Amino acid sequence: MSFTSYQFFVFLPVVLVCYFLIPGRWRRGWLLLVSLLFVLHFDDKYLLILLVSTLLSYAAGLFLERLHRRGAPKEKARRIGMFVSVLALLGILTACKYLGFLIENGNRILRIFGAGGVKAPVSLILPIGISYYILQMISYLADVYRGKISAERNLLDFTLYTSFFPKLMSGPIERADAFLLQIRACRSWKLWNWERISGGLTLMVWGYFQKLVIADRLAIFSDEVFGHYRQYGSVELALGVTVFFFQLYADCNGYMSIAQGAAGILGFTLQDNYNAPYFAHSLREYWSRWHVSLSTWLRDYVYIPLGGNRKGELRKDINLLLTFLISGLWHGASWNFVVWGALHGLYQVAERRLEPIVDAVNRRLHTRTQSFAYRGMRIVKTWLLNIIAFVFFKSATLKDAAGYLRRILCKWDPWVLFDGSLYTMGVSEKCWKAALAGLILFFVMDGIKYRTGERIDGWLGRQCIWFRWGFLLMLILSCIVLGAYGPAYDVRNFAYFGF
Amino acid sequence: MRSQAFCLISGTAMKWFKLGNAGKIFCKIVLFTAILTAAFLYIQQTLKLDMGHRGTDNVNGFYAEKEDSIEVLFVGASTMFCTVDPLVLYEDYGIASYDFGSSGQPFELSYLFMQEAFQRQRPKVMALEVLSIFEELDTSKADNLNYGITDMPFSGTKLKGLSDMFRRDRGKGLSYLIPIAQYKDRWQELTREDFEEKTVNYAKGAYTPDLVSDAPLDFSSYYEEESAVIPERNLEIFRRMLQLCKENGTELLLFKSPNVGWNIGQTKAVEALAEEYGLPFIDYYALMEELQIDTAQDFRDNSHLNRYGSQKASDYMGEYLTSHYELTDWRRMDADNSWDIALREREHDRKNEQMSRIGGLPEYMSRLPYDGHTAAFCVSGDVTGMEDFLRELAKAFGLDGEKLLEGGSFAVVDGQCVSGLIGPSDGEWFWEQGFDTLRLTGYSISYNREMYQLVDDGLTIFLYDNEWGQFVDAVGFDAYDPAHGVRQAE
Repeated sequence: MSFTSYQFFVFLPVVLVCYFLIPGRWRRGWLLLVSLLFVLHFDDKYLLILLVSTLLSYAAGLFLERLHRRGAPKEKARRIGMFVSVLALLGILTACKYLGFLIENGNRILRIFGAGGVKAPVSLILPIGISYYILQMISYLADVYRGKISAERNLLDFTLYTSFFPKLMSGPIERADAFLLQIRACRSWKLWNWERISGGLTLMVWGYFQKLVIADRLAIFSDEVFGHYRQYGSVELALGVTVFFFQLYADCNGYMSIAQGAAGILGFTLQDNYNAPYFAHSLREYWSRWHVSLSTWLRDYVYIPLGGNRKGELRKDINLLLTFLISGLWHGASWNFVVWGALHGLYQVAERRLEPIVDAVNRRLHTRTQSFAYRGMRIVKTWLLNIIAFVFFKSATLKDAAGYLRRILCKWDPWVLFDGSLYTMGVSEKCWKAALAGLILFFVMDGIKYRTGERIDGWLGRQCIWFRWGFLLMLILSCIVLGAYGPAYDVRNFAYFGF
Repeated sequence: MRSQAFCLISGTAMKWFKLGNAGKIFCKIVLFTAILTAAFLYIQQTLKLDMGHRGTDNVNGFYAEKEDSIEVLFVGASTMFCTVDPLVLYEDYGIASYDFGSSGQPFELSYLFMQEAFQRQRPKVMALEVLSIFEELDTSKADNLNYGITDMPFSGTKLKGLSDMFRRDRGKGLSYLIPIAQYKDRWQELTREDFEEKTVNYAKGAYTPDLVSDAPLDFSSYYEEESAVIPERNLEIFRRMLQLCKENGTELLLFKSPNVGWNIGQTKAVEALAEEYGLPFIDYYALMEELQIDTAQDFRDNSHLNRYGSQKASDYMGEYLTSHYELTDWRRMDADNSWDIALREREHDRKNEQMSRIGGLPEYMSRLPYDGHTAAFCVSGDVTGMEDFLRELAKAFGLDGEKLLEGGSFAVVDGQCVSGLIGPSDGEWFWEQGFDTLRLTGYSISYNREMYQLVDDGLTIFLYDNEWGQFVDAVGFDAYDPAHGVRQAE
């Protein structure tokens, strides 16, 4: 049940009405029930894997805490316990997400040595949200292991933490300490808070606008270009990946807004996963704003345990590279994601190493680094580097990505900008204009967020009622009329749904 | 009055301020939802595809009819509304009837049409064209469903009917209940017509153009199939139709229009069905000879009669209905009814239609309807051979004939020249009605930004219907060949 499916428009109101009407002590149970039903609606195997992982991490948490209380003599057992339980969770993730990739690459190696291939023992499935809830469980176990939090004793609360439906499919990766607190507190919440409800609804409408009017409309073009890149020249291909660059952000942020909105109406706060990343002046800043919950997770549970920046400059570079390689692999079981991650790792290292040189040059040339133009150029530079990396992210295979980049450089066809060819690739001129208008609005809102840190619900809530209503009506009606949905369109899942 | 209004507003405001926070929020939600719903319905109405005679006009027209005013209702697919012309039935027999159908109408949809009809009308006779009785509902044929369903207003009957038709895939039925899901992308192709509300159907649902098929129809396949079976589901629907008519005290009449593809086996099956339930059945195929329906002249294509064929079929239907049922002759009523108005509209329409087909200048001028019309004339280039005619024309409207020969234009509204002569060195002259704008210069006529300069040397005439607010014709007559008018499409 995607957030854009008809079923969700029935599911959510039912969930909300009951949630608001039932006594406070039943709220957690109700949310758990509907969250499990939400997963069950996809596949009963998905539910089984979620429950097994949850039970495993729940039991491991209690076990680790018990050993922690016993102190130093049990330290080795605790380490082994932590190692085994994380390994088990990673085993589940690998079995579901990476087994096919491992077998495929293993077979390639075997073929080099003349040996026969191996087939997958079972048909592979990728349960929804597995990449997210496994990371949540690992961070929970790590925090318990470090003694940062105590293990959760209430299995139902813990299961709700791992399965809470607004964040299940595409995050954010919530930390146990903050989220379990919310779960425990929800029984006593005063739910009838109109500001919170209207804020949640505003966020949801804004999310649907981003998804249906911008992302899914642009996706028609980028899918066409990446799907048939051999038919197109430099301009179409450059435009295709640029469009994908904007589409992906609108898609991810759209999902996040819907998830935050739905959770907000229920009284829960989900962390902001996208904090105006396309206004970032450097890739380092970009990664502090893009998929924040994943970035901070990788920082806390991969980069810092690897040594972070405490073990010299070279080790820092290596740690950065390794962290981004893992990030790439997390995004998908394919070599192009690995290359995408490696590219970002290299960008980080290069940016860090070149920073003193750039600063020296700027000082020598008296460059006005605070000027609008200089800042704008830095933003564009960040975009360009990102866009190049996105060729690997979006392409089906490494070979396709290489072919795509080669054609961008070699098949110069500027006339397509003028002869109307761009309007024959699934998106008409009027649809382009509609998507562009939506994109401008999207960036205006993001600009406000970048400058003030305020989300659209907060900003809109401060405006006069006429503007507020007009704006909301415009968003809703735009979704209805301009949104890419209905019999003429394929239902598109959110981009991060498959990770 | 003003003080009363002030009291009302201030009283409402006072009550508003006395409302608690929850009350205010509730009122805001209700108001916002109402505005959103109104905007949604307007947008949905605008975006819906206008299917003209295939559905929109017939369906909207039916709902615009006065309640309990129709005595004979015809239901079925296009073969129905191309065969029976309610205006012929009224003009010649005084029968108040309506063709409530849609193109390619599936049999199950005919049942929904009957159910809807009984919500507003109590016809004495329900005449069902049986073309689709042999075909089971195919929900993948979206057009055939859209023609009939899109413009049908939301109602419990519609909801129930769709739920029954889409019993195997209710989600799919939802897009027929909320048409915007299917038509939302039409925002890219909206034109002025989409914003104009069309309700009354002056043809009373019939579509009988005077087009003639390219070749005579070949009915030789009629005898190829000796037997045919009506699907069980359609038999069940048929029984429901019977029951529905019975409950409403309406007589059911079956008929079949002639069309290539129908066969004798199907005729026999329908005959057997009619006999089983004691229903009359009019088989037009069997009557073709008697009615002198000509396969070369009376059809517009393989499935549909044209105006001439429909006239013959309707005459027969009128005689049959008056001789078998007790129907009122509505022509004898004093007050104008909608059929009287429709007849006048038809007359008006046919006059306009004739104008757009006249080829020669003398005939065109002799039949040019000045009353209720605006005519614009533009003379350009070398008019040798046309001088006398143009002098006469100028004289008739009090203009200088010699000046007109040098080129220029003028407009005549309801027989009066309102523009004077606009010469080549004069400026522009505008005439407006509603959103329509006519612009004259010394050498051209433009209507809504489209220029009509149909001949280089001669006379261009533009004709506009003031009463209906629509373009009628634009024709150019070359000075060297005024017997053959030139129109834009040619």
